[in-house]
Amino acid sequence: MAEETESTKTEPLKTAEEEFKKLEITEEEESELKLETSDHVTFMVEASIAMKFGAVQQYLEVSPAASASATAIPLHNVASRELILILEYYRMHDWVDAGERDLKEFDERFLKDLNYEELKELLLAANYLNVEKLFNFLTKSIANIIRNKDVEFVRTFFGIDNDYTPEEEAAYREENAWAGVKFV
Amino acid sequence: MLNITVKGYRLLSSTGDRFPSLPVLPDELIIEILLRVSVRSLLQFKCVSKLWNTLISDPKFAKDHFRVSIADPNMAHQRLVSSGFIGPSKIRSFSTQLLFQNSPTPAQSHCFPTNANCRILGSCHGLLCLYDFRNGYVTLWNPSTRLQSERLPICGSFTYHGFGYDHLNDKYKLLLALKGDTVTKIYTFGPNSFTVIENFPRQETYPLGWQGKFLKGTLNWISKRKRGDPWVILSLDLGTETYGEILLPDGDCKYICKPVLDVLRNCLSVCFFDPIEIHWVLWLMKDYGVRDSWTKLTIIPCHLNHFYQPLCISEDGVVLLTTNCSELVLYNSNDGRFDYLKIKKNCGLHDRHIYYESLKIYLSSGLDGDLAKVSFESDFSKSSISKK
Repeated sequence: MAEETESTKTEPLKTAEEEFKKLEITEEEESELKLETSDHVTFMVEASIAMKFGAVQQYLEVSPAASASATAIPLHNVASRELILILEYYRMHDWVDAGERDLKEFDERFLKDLNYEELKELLLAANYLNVEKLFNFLTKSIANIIRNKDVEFVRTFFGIDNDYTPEEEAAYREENAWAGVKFV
Repeated sequence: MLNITVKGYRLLSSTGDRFPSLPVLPDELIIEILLRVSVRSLLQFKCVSKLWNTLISDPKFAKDHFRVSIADPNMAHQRLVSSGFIGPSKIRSFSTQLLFQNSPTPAQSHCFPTNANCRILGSCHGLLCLYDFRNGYVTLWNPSTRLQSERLPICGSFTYHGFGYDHLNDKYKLLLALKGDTVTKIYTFGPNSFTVIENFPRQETYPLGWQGKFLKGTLNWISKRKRGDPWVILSLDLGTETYGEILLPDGDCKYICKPVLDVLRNCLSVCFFDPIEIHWVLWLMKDYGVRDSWTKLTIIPCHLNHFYQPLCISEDGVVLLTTNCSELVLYNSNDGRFDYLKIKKNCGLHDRHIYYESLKIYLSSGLDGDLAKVSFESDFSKSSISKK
């Protein structure tokens, strides 16, 4: 209630932003940071989440003024699409009430919605942002995708050209053929 | 320039104008992914390209891969391995992950094409130290890559023994307290095969405790200095080749019976029977060598008069135990439940060890790399043919 009277006093126009603010269940006003993606979309992100990004931390170390000022912190190698996904992931994993099972279900759903290209884009973004938890999750997930797959699948997945001669390749395949046999 | 300020990312759907090129991952990210792939897949992926072959064959990659594998809480790279002690039996391995799932069908094991005369003396970095007791030699074998080191001849039988890695000198070492001539030798894999060290300061008692447990550059045994003395942990620093002692927890327990030493969660652990309370107590030493860091992990009630040796413990407190009847049991410390695992008969569950799958190729200075690449299989098939 107090928030409403205050907002009507200072700002008569109600924006979509404020509507959204009211929907939020946060009890206290949390400080936010302004992030700008490579496709020039600006995001207001809770500082508690933004500070998990190594790239943001590093930026603020160099120019600490950015945390309070209106200047956006530029994320040169992250497009808005990836940042939305990354924020979604971190919001869920940061949510105190999320149980282990909720997180597992969330992770599964999160992965299912991504195709291979999106998954790789997201890994590049996570790497650039230096977000450890998501980075580990993505590398582990890609490792699971290529596990037990054949060499052709892996070449296509990573876009790698085969530079072996057919003889060389046959020799290597023979040497490690036993590793492809089903194993319990 | 598009510049929208969005409060709350959920309001944004998609920017729509993303450049639709295929993302190419740089090599360092491909390496990060490959560090999380199983050894068997990696061996096959050597055929992907010449670069991948070089990368996967790099000893530094093997080291990093092992580091990532042991940190995996899902135990995906961990296997239980056992050899036969009495009667002909080959080396078998079980997926630890599957054992913890406690499937109603008998747990399948993988039988390695090794010969039947081998005992496992220890494991370290994914390498097993095998002792061929009929032909009198030891060898290092990586069951994941199936590569084997040169043979090291061993003369005579031994009581106390232990296998581990000396990180000061980058060498794998084997301690044997030889019977009869009462000499303790440390065999080093590579040139200068053995040195005689100060005699093993323990009497030949309690065969269950003869096998040393490797942890952080040391080998450890639980034993008594002499009859009537309290149990202590005797440790040997593999770098300096000197002995030391570690005291057991200063607990409330007056009597300690049938203690066994193990390595759980990369910590020294001791499990013993308390005859007054009639249960088993499992302790973990969180900081190696620091007596105050002993932590009581769980109490295991006495069940069917078995005695237990813990093999590994899951993150959520389920302990995989082996009994004196060669059974495998899962004990859930949260609800006190025992589950006896179904295993195919005649699996020869002796010399049980937990090892991590690794790409480790045994190489030491002065040893030709090609020598290490002798395939165990061809070696064993030859020897079994010649015997027939």
